[in-house]
Amino acid sequence: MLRWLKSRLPTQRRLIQLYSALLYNAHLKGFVQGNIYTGPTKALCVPGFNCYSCPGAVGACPLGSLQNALASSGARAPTYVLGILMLFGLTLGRTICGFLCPMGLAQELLYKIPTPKVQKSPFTRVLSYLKYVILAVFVVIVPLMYALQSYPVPAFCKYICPVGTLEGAVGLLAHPVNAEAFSMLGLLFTRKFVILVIITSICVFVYRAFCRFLCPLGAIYGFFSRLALLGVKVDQPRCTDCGACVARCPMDIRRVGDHECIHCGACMAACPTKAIAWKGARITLHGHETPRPAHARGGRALAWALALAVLGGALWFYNRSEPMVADGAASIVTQAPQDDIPTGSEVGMRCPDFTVPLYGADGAAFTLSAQRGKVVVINFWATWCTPCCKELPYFQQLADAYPDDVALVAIHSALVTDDVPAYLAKMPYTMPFALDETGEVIASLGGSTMLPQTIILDRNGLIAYNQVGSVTYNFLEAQVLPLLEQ
Amino acid sequence: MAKRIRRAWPWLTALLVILAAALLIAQAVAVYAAGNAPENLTEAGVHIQPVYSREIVLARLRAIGAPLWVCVAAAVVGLALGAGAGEPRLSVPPERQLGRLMARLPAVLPEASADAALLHREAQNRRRAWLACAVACLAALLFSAAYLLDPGHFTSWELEAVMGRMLLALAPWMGLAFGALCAAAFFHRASVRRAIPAARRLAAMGRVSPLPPPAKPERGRAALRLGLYVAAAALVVLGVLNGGLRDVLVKAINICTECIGLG
Repeated sequence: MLRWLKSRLPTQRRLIQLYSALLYNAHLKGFVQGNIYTGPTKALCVPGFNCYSCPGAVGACPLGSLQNALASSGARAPTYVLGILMLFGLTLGRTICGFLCPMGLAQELLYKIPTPKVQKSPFTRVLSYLKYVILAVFVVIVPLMYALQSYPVPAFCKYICPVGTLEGAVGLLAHPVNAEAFSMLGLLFTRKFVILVIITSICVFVYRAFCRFLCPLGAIYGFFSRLALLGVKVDQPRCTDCGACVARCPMDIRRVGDHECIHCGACMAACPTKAIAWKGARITLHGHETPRPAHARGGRALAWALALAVLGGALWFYNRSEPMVADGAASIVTQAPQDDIPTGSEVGMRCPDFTVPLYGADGAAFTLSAQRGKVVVINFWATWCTPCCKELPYFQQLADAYPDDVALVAIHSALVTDDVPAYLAKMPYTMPFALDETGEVIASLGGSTMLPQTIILDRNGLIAYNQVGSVTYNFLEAQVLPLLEQ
Repeated sequence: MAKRIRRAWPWLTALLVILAAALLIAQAVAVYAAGNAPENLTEAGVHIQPVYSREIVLARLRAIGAPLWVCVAAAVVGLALGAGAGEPRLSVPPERQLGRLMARLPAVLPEASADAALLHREAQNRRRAWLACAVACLAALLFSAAYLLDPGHFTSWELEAVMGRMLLALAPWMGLAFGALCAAAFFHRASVRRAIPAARRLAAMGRVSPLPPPAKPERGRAALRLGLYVAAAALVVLGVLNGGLRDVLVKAINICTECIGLG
C-alpha cells in the first residue's frame, strides 16, 4: 500500500505545474462570485496559456494579448507583448510548456486516464507542424489584415481556443449569477464547445495533443529552443547517440532540446550514460542522476518555502475583502419618484437619468431625460471589442430607419485605448457617439466587464431590454417596433 | 482474471470516453438545433426564446448524467487498478539507428558491394522524396500566401463567411503540403528501414570510427541571446511608453463576449 502510494506521489514537475496553475488563477473568489479580476496585475502577461477571462486569472494571456496587440497595430506597434514573449522565450523557452502551462497540466492529467494510447509516429511528427500554420493564419495574418480596417479580430481566440471556452465561457457560465449570459449563446458557443470536447477527448488518447498539434504559444516558444537559458542539455562527449532519449520522449522530438522538446526531463532517466542534465543545474532542478551537492537540498527547501510564501501572499492579496466603494455618480441622477416604478437596471424598471459628453460635438452632451417620448436605444461598445464594432452598422441602420421616433446613442466604455475620434472619422456613422468617462453610466445600468451591452427603453423611459451580447438589425427592429406602436 | 480485467479496462474506458464526448456534442448540437427550429423564429429570423438557457443546459446535462458519471467512475477505477500502466514502449527511431551505423562505416566503401550500392540508392531516393516534398510545400505556401496576403479577401465584416471562404481556399493547399510531408516521412522511414541491414553488414566489416565532435557555436549563441535580451527589454519599455501595457490591461479586465465563445 505504501509502495502504491509512493509510486503515485506527484513529481517535482507536477508540483510546479500545479503551483503555477494556482498562481495564475489566484483570484479564487472570482469562481465564487462569478466575475473576473480587474486589478492592475492583469497588465502583465503570464508565461503559460491561461485565459484572462477566467474568473480566477490574475494575469493576461500572452496569446490573447498578442492577437489584440496585432489587431490594434494600426494605432500603435505591438512592442510590449512582443518584448514580453521574447523575454519569456529567451529565458525559459518551451520549459514553460513543460512546467508552467495550466493547459499542459490539464492535458497530462487527461492522458493519465487509462485507455489505449496513440504512439508517436511520422504522422504525428508531420501533424506537429500544424501549430505553425495556426500561428501564422489565425494569430498573425487575420488580425493584421483586419487591423487595416480598425476591426479587431482575435481569430484564434474566437474560432479555436479551447482554453477560452473552458476557463472563460464555461467558467463564467457555471456561476448562477451569470445565468442571463446564456441568452447570448448560439452557433459560436456550440461550435467552440464541440471543439473543446473533441480536443479534450483526443488528449485522453494522445499525449498533449493540443500542445503538440495546435498550440501557437508553444510554436512561438519553440523558436527560442536553441537560445533559452533554462531547459535540458546534452553533454555531447558523454552521449553515445543511442537514441534512448528520443525513444522515451512522448513528444515529436528529433533530438533533446529541439523545438518540439518541452524540457520535461523524462529523458534523463532513460539515458544510459547520464549525458542529459539541466542547464544551470546548480540553481535549478536536478535530474534523476545529476550530481546533487549537499547544500542543494537546503536550497531547494528554501526555494519551495519562498514559492509557497509568494503563493500564500498572492492568495491573500487577490481574495481579501475589499472595502465597498460608495455609489454616487455625478452624472447619474436618480429621479424623484413620479410613480411606483423603481429606478434600476432591470427590465420594467425606470432607467436612471444620465448625461454623457458626445464625441465630435464641442461641449454637446446626450441627456437621457431629454429624449422622453422617444424609444431610446443605448449601446455600450469599445474599439477593441470585435462584436461591438461589428454591430455598430446595425444601430446606424436603425437610426436611419426611424430618425424621429428612436433616439440612439453608442457609448464608448470608460477604458479608452485607441483614439476613438480617429476611429469614428474613418467610419461612415452619423449617429451620436458618447463617452462614459468614469464608467458610472454602464455601472448604473447593470453593466460589468462584458461587452457589448444594449439597452432599449420605451417612450416612458422604462427598460424593455437590457442584455450583454451581440445583436443584429432584425433583432433590434423586432425589439423596437412593438415599443413604437405603444 | 485480475490481469485480464486490468488489460480490458482501458478499452472499456476508451469506449466510455468516446461515448461521453459524443453525448456532450450531441446535446450541444440538439440544443442549438431546437433553438433554431422554425417554431422558435419570427418571420424576421429573430429567436422567440433564447437558444440556450441555464435551465435547458442543466436539463440536458441531467439527461446524460448517468453515462458521464460512469465514465468518470471507470477512469477512477482504472487509475486505482493501475490499468494500462506500465513502461512505455521504447523503440529507438530507425533514423537514429541508421545514423549510428553510418558513423561506423569504413571511410571508403567497397565499390562493388551490393550493400554499398543499396545504401547509396536509398540515400538518393530519400533526397529525391524530400525534394519533391519541398517543391509541393513551397507551391502550397506560395498559393496560400497569395490568398492570405490579399487584403481583398478580408474586407467583409461577416467573419463567418470570410473564415469559411478562407478555409475552403487554403484546405487544398494545406492538404497537399501535409500529404506531401506525410508521404515523404513514411517513405523516408521505409527507406531507412531498408538501408539498416545493409549498413549493419558494412559496419561489421569495417573499422569503428569515432563520432565526430559536434560544433559548438556557444559564443555566438551567447552574443545573440544577449542582443535579443536587450532588444526584448527595449521593446517592453517602448510598449510601456506607447500605451501597449494599458492596452493589455484594458483587454484583460473586460470580457469580449465573442472572444471566449459566448456570442
